[in-house]
Amino acid sequence: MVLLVTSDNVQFQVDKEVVERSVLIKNMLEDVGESDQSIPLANVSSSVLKKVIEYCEHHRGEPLPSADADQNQDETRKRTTDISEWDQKFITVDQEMLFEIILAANYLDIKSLLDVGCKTVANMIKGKTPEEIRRLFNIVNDFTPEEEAQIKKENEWAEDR
Amino acid sequence: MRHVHVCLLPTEILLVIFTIIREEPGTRDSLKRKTIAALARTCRTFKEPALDVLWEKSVESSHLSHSCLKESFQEQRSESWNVRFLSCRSVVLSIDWDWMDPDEPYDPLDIPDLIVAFSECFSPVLEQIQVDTKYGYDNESIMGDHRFAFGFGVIAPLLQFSRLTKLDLDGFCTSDVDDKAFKNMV
Repeated sequence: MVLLVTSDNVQFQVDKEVVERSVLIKNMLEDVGESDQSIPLANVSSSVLKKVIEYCEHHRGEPLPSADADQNQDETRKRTTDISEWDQKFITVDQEMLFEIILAANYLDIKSLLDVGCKTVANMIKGKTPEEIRRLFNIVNDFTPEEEAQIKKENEWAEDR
Repeated sequence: MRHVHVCLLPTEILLVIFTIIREEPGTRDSLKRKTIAALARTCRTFKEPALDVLWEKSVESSHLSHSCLKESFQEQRSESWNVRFLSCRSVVLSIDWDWMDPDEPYDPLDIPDLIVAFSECFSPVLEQIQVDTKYGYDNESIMGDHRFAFGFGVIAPLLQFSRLTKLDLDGFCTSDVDDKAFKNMV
């Protein structure tokens, strides 16, 4: 078992096999060797780590992408926005948690979870106008009207076809 | 819990998300481009990564034809339109004589205008130019016309790019792009 300590100082005892889906933690464990020392995760809160562990538990035993994996395989994985049924259910969270999971997956280096998060955001954005995207994510339009018109003009070829 | 907003995601993650949209199979390219262009207009945080994803691949020939540039040049002259493809680093320019209006014969004197228009539309740090020339039914008459015979010495001074690493002028240029002249030009 591995002891993880979150940013809000909550401790989690997790199976090594589960936690090693994180390349960051796997490398840490390899570097340190057998040890009872806890691993501090300063960038991950307990509520987020709970979700991350839930994901890793579910995908326990699945092959991990190897470090020297064929880049084409990596690209293919990214290109599809399909998400499995379980993952879809898992990632049905509020936006703040979704972005927290993405950040945690990026920090912990869990590629498959990062993919699920990014694909979910991509699916939310697809086919939307700038105004719809702003509404969706509560984004303030910080362009001047002239700047926005200029960007539109520069990229008219992409918007008109 | 801190408040994480989509605009607080690091650029590398925004790039992944926008690339997923661009690469998604089964969706029309036009719709994917439209979404990414919409992202570029959403806010300052999205602008650069969205433009990077939009322009990462060369501007394809269907996007940039000589007639489009000609129009751009004429419009720029009248200062009513100011289109710049500043984010683009690599371009394929398609010149298809068959696209010409048969009722309005192509004027070879337009070619320097075309090249100037091209130079003005792109950033001075454009790195790659590939001209893809498609000759049509009257290929021989076009190429037999001495007024079309532009050598590299004529074309080079019209191109205003200081960081070119690749220049392929295809049949657009009657002489080869020799290394020395190319280096001098850059």
